[in-house]
Amino acid sequence: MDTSKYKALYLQEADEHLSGIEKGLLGLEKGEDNPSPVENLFRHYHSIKGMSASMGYENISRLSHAQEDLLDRVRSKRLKLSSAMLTALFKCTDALKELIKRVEEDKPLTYDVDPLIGEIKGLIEGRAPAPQNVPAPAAELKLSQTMKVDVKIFDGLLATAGDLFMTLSSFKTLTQGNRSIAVKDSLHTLGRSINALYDNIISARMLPIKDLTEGLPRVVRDISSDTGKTVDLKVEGAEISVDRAILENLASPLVHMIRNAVDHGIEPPGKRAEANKPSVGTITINAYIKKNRVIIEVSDDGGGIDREKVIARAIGMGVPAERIRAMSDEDVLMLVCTPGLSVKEEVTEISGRGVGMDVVKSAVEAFGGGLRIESEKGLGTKVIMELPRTSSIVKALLVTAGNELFLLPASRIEQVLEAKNAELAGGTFKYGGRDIPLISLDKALGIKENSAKDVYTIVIVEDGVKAESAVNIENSAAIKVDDFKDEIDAYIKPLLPPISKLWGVSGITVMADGRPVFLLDVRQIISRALKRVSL
Amino acid sequence: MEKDKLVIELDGTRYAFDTADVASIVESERIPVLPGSTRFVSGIISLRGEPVTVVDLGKVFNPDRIGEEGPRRIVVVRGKNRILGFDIGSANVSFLWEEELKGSAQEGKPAVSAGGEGRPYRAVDWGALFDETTRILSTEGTGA
Repeated sequence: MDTSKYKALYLQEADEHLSGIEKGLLGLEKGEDNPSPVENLFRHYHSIKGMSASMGYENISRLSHAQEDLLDRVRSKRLKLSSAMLTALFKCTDALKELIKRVEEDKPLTYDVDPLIGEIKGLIEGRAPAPQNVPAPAAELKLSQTMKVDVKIFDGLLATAGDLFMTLSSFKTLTQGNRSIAVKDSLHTLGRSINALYDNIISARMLPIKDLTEGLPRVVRDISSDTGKTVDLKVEGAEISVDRAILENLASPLVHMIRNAVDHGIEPPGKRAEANKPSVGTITINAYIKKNRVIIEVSDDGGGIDREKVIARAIGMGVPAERIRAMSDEDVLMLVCTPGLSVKEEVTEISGRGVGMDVVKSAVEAFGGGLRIESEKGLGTKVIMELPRTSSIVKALLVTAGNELFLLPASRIEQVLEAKNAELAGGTFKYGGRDIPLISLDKALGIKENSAKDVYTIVIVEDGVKAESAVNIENSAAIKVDDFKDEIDAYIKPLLPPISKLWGVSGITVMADGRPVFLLDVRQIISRALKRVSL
Repeated sequence: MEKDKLVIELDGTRYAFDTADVASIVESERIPVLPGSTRFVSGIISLRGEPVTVVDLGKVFNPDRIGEEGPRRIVVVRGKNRILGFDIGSANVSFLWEEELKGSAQEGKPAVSAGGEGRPYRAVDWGALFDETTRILSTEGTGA
């Protein structure tokens, strides 16, 4: 395992533990017993031992283990702490400091810790070992090279960078007609600096998906043993990093999906044997990057979703049968994300993925992502989540509908065209030799229309959640707007109550002039348009 | 105990907010609309970079009321993790101080209290309105 990327974190934590040890030993020497210094010391040594073993620093791990051993006996009152023991612990701590310093300086850990371990063992066994001379490290006061910073500070920094982006966009618009080289140079430099600032803040907020998936083997283990199944979890692409806010939001949904996959997807061993499947079921989490967005797929090789049972349950909940008949297979599968459909026991027994899928979908959509499900009866199920890697700055096109401004994410835009009003009579628009749904943005959002114009702007958009093999145009739509303006880097804020579940939008920005502008949820708008066309 | 109140006189009724909840009074030429906004929801503004959903105070209590056009004032109230704007059109705003209110509250009638001048006012339960706005924007908009 490549541990180099965790070294900074190791050093930071080791420093904290060493400082705790020193404080604890000094306290013990003074006879302080509040709050239980032996217990605290034991925890510090135990942490250093574990961290060092994970990083492969054997000397450090062995030495802290010996000290932990001694303290364990003191803690359990099998040994009485003596001044000789304290002296030995101080010496060993100096040696730990020296070793950790060598880690920091990338020097080999050739320090011989055996004599010190021997001294500790001697004290444990009641022998009087020859005290070892350890050169005490030079007294120095140093500050850590890494800092722990409250997440809120990064949120504040990001918000400030977002405001700078919006102000810069405004300056660019205001100075469009200005021919001064000096103004353009200054704007360019300012833009570069803001970009660098933003990139630095974002990189500090990015966390590998691994941080999220590390706890999952335990979840799989627990549910597997409860259900009598044997399940193997594979994680691919765990090194891909994503904004902390997005990962945080995915934690519970991911556990939901894994739990459902083990509990309802993977069959019991007997059933798997009948189906000529390996007795060990497999759940795979596969993460990869596509067009600067992260795709996370959670798949299992279980029994797949039983569509008939999902349909029966949906009808039982009041979804009209004729509406279900008109649905595509993909839409039928998405019924498992209907709130309430999954909470009943009947659904958890239909080898489908019911529990909490509405929560999963909401969590993905909260950050402007999309979710779809693929499932083959008898072969398994795959949930595909597509998310932005960062939650804030989005390249977007400003469009007008009625007297209102909206943002369309540039990543969803295929083309911007002009069309005569006369060509826009029906519900579809001819594009790439096919008829795609035509959506009048003002009507879709319930906005007062402007009087009719001769020419409108048509923005061809695609929903971006289609499978690799699918033809994009099948999930495209033409959005009719009054006009389009600039493409800007917009700082998108999440939608909070009371607008957290507003239809058709996925975020909001506040322009430099204070005007709030919504980022349109293209996927949601297209989904409704496609349903309308198919009815 | 009665607290200082911001009082808005609208269509002959006096509405009151605790001044401690009032974050700002914003003047606006027009309010950008909220997609699919319905009933008493007017639109959205920003206050120091923060989006604020705006409801029409008059329409909250009188759904048939026809809203005013043109420049207007918005009373922005803020609580823990909640912010909401009240479009008051060109209505008059005044204050009732704690001293004036002492002894004038009518027990058992929390929504309508007597003001310092003896004229009743309606205390606006804006927290409940915030919840109701969240509910209708989740279920009644164009997405319904």
